Amino acid sequence: MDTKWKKSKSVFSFMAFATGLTVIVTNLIPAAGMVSAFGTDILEGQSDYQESGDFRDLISGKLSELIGVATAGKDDSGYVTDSTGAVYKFMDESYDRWVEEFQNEPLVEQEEAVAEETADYGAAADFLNNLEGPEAFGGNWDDYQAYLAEQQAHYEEIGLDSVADYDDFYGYGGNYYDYYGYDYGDQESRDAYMADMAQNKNLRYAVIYQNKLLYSNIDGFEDKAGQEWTDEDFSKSLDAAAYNFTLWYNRTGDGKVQIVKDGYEVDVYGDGIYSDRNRWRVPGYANFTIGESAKDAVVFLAAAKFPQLYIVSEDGRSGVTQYGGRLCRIRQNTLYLASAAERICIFMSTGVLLLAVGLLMRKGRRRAVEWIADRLQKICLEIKLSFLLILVILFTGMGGGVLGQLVWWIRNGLGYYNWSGDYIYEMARLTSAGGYLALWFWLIYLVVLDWRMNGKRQKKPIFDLLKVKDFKYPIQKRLVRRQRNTLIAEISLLLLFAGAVCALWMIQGELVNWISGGYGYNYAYETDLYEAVAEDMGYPFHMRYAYMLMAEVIFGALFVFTAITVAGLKKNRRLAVDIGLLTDRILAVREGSLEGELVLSGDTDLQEAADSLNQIQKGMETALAEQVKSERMKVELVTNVSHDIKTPLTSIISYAELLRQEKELPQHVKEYIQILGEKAERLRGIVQDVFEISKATSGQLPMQMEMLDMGKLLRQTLADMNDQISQSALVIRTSIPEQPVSVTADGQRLYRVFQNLLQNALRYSLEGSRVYLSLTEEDGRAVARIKNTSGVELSDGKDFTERFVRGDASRTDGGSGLGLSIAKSFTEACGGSLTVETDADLFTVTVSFPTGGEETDAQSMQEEQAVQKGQDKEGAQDRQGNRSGGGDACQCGDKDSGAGKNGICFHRCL
Amino acid sequence: MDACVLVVDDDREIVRAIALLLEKEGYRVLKAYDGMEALRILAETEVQLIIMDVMMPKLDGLSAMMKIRERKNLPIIVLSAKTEETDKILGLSMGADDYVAKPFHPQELAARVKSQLRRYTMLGGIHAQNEEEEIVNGRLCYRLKERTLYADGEPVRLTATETKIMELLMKNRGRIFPAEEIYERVWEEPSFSPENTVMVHIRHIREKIELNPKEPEYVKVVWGIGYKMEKK
Repeated sequence: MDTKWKKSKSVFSFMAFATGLTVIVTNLIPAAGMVSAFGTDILEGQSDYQESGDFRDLISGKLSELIGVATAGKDDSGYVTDSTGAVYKFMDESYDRWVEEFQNEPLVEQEEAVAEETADYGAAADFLNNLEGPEAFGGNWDDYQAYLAEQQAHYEEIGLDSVADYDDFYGYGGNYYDYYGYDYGDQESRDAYMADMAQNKNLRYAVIYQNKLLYSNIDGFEDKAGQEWTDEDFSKSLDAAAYNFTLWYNRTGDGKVQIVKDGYEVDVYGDGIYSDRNRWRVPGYANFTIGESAKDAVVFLAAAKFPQLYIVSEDGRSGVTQYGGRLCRIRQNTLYLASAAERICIFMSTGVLLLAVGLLMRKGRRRAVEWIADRLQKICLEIKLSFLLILVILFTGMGGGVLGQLVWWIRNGLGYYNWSGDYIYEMARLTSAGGYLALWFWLIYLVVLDWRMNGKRQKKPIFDLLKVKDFKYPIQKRLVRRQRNTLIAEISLLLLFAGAVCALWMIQGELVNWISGGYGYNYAYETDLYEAVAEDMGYPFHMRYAYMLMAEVIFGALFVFTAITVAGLKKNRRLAVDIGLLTDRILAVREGSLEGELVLSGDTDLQEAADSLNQIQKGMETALAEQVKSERMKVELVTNVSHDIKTPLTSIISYAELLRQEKELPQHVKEYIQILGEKAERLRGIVQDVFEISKATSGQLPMQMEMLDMGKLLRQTLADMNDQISQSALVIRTSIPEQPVSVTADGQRLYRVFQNLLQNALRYSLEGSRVYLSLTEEDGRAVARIKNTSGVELSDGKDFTERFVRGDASRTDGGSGLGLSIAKSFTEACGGSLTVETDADLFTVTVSFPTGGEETDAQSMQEEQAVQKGQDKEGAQDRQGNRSGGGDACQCGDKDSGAGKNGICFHRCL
Repeated sequence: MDACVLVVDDDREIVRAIALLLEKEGYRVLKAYDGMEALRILAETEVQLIIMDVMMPKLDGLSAMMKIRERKNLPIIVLSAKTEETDKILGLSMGADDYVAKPFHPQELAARVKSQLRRYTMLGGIHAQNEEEEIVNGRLCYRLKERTLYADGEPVRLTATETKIMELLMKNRGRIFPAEEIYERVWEEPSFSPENTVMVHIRHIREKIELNPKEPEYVKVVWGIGYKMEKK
């Protein structure tokens, strides 16, 4: 129950954390865009489209057109020349700055493209307008059809049919007059334009020149023949509720604009100075005046509160034309942006809230993160890496350089609405970019999480396989294999780059475009446009040649590299063989084989190393022989001396015994005899100890190594010495684990070690103090510690394991002074270590052995178990046989053991 | 009993000391100071036991022993200052019945002499008995029906527990018993830290059956594993 609650808690906290972060990250770019657009009307979240910059742009543009129409292009201020040129001319400076600022950005490309396409629009319009009607063929339908087919073919030939797509895509609604030049001077052209514009019921206008009404699409509006125009003339013809926005240019003859919206006059001019920030680009500012001829014109404009599309079917031309699209679209965009801003705010605050909840429930989240890390750990590294690689390629490739675009968006925010005008499209892109960002975020999050939590415990079976496999082979094979692998890698890279070069030649531009990626969208323009732009931008030569050259250079370098590898292959193979021989020889020397010389083939690179090894071998042989000789002499000396002492000692002991048996001796003589007996006994002990220690240190002590339980051995030793312990005034505190602590040692010798140590403790401890004996397992070693408080002051820096060293210098007590020394040499002969530490009067001896032991083969394990169970009699008897057998095999100094000369083997007996 | 013991050693003091000791025990002692002399005495006199040093002039102990063994089957105790296991094994394999390292305890030597003599003179009859009813291991013999342990043919006074331990060990000569198992099988109850209890009994047994309890030949501790009866 508890765990279930815990589980759901961690799931909840992590879900909150993850959802919160995802929401925040997804909306980060739109939000950043909003922030960067701070101060512009976008952010004000207007639901009234008439408050948007685009509306102002449109109205300003229309006004300039209408003034142009009114004055027939005769404006001497230069304001009215054509629909776009007017503005640009006036704003020459800012235009230049604008071009400079954005010339490296994708939209320049778009602009340029539009400029190029414009010509086609003109051509298309001319073409369509000049088509003959069916009446020109005198009712002959077949002729007319043939004519149309011919024209159609011609139309396609000059590539005009693609223009329509562009139209729909960018939503200019077929009203291309908005976009390209218009000659005001031409009456026919003026009339055609105004006829089109009249269809647009969202914008109502009246163009008056010298008090004469030239054009109007206001229903029931008529020329007043030279009379003054009053407000009522307009208001009675227009529904103020439907057309809540009115603009009146030059109403009072001052060349200024008066705007009334919902019955209130709008402050158009502000401080009277025109700047880029001001969206009413209309004449009447101190720095934006209009020519004299334009002062004869009066323009009235009214915009619908709720613009609609007007679809008009046209006679003589198939299909329909739609009018009023731009106002509709501006309104849609405004509404969309307002709701989008609201949505982003809601999303962001929800995200922050969820994130906060997730962050607060730290424990639960941590559990969830650990759970995820565990799951990730189960997937092997190779799969993760390849998955990651695929994702990265997909993201960078498919997104068309998503990252580059993101940077651009964030820097420019939504600021470029000025000329794109299509917010919905851009917002959709932004949102999808947010999705990309979230994907990237979580991908990086998972990678970092995996790295941090699983760092070294990654599963990598394939890498491991390569590694493990490698070590199975001898060194020469390993070297050859590695070289072969390098060669294979080089050849595959070579092939890969060869393929890349071919591919680059074959698919040229498209690949280049894809690789360069940065231009993100507008693939429709393909390479021609790309080239044009690249050249315009002043690249020294085309990028694709750079890529190609790069690939070729890499290919060439790889080729040279591979050739060098192949050339060195044979020589390296021979070197590998020689290295193998050398390492084999080194191994053999380590194993104790000092015979034979290493001979390598002729002019090998390793001749010097081989010679050195041979010399080392010779030197070792000589040194070893000498060492063996001196060791043997030492042992012989000790053996002879001890033998010579033992013979007279026998007599001493025997006669002392005879004396002891004499009955009629005075008491004091009996005491003398007692002393004589005791000292003779001690001498016997010393002689035996010296003998054994000399053998143990020279490695000639026969050992019977077997697996035994050190805890049991300690208990047995204590039990064996029970009398001595109870006779002493000391207490022994033991801490020996019940479970077996297995070590491999000679039991008899190890018993002597602990017997000596305990005797030592009993002999030299402070009376009434306690001796502590403990056995622990530490880092794979069995560690026995005997601690006692010394009775006499211990001097620092004395090595108690040296022969004949004792705590006090008097040498009058019963010990031989060899106890610790024997214990140390026996321990080491058994493969353990013994250290003595003193801290004030605390005397600590530590004996440690590796637990288990290398000799634990399957058989002896079985026997061990058999003995432990104590039931298998046969097994136990077998074991007896094995014990003595094993002991023999392990006797150092045995003539049969190892390849060592003179019966010395290099391994210590273990 | 008047058994005759021949003591051979080139060290006259040692020979004299041994002779004195053994005479006190009631043996008749002959002395020799080298191998040749020992062989001469043997040819002339009936001897029940020989105590012989290994390193001697003229003819060393081992060679002399080989010569003796060609004709006679009497017990020979070898004395040697060499205490290494290999020397001991060499001595025993060349026909010695016992091996005593110098310097020895006079009492131990006397006990060994006694043991060897008893086995030589008396145990001959024991072998006639029903083999199913007794377990013989070197100097020791356990009679199952009597539940009695004999050392050198003499019954050993063991307590009931000690007898049980000996029965277990004699029945399974050579096998190593952990203290826990001995405890459980002898006391017939679960063991808890039985090492001390078992060891105390083992020590008592040793004192009763071993010639030198400090260097036991029969009941041995296998350090770190358990206890066993050495198979002779």
